[in-house]
Amino acid sequence: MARGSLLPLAGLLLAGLAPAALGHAGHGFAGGFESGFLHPLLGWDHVAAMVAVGLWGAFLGASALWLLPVVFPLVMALGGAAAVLGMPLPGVELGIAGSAIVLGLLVALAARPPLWLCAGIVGAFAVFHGHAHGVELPEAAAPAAYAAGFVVATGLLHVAGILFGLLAHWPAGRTAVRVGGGVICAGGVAVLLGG
Amino acid sequence: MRAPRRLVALAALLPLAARAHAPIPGIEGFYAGLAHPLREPATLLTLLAVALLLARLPPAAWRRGWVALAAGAAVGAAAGFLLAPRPAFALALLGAGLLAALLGTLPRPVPGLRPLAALCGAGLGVALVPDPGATADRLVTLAGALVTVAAAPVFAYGALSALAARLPGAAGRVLPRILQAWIAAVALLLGAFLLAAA
Repeated sequence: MARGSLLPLAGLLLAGLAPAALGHAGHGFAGGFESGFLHPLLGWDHVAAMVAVGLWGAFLGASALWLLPVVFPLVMALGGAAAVLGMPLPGVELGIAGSAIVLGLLVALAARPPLWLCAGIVGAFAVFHGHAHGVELPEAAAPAAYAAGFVVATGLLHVAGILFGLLAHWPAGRTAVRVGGGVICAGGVAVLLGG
Repeated sequence: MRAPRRLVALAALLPLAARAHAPIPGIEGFYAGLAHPLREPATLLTLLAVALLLARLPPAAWRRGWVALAAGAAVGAAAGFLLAPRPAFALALLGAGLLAALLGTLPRPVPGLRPLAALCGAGLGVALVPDPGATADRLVTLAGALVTVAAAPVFAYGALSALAARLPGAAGRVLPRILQAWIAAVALLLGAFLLAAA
């Protein structure tokens, strides 16, 4: 047998000797992080609004591109803390659907209001998203891990929006980003009418 | 003879558990102490927040902040050792960590951070005192925890310096602020949870 053909065989043999992976803990810290991480990802309205924040930042210039992802998690956490402490917030679902509509529309229009107003709009909607996440926090097996999971997932959705928004540097990309905003807005309207 | 070398390399990847024994009696406690600040959410968040906050300072200010943190941790650990029973400290510690993280989200480093670094250090020192047991074992474990507290700002400074070198533009400056916003958000939520549970 040629020496070269031994290597794949040896690799297979070694792979067969590997003990079982024990990385799929569905409880404790890993379970808490997993459920927190998945919570924003499994709700279409959450995903759309987070991505829209990133997309909008692309139209607003470098300062907004980085300001919005700093403001959003902080205000979102305030909403989450209010939920954990049992403070009710009326119209949470309406606020979340509204965030997709308004933020999507702002992206579609390539709107460029002053930076303080942008932060205010994004922060106002972040409260609703945070409250929706926070309602589930007291039931989480590992609250710190759940909180870390949903904050990280939210941040990564912003990054996804920012990366897509960077296409706006090119004329065709700018159109694509604006169309993306329109789709998000339409999706928000559909959620609102459907709910 | 390259094939045998590759086989050796593949064999080195055999994922068997290492069964190294501790060469010094009692050193396991030190190792456990090293991990202690990283295993408790309140201590981990506070340590991350203050380490990242200090890491954005110029070198001389960073050194002064590091000394304040380390000295605060030593004083806090001594006080924690003497306080029996220790007070429930997680909420206060999270408050200090939250303040450090919030200051870390600002566009420019804030001057006069030494008192906050010392406060965070003192809180960490108290929180990291091991549960009652043999005094020698507790001291060894606490020493490990204090090493982690002292080392964290050094790692953070190195990490941010490397980040700034690789990303010299706005991204290199703003990524630590985003990370601090995430830390502050988690600290806020965890604090609310502890408050609700109290």
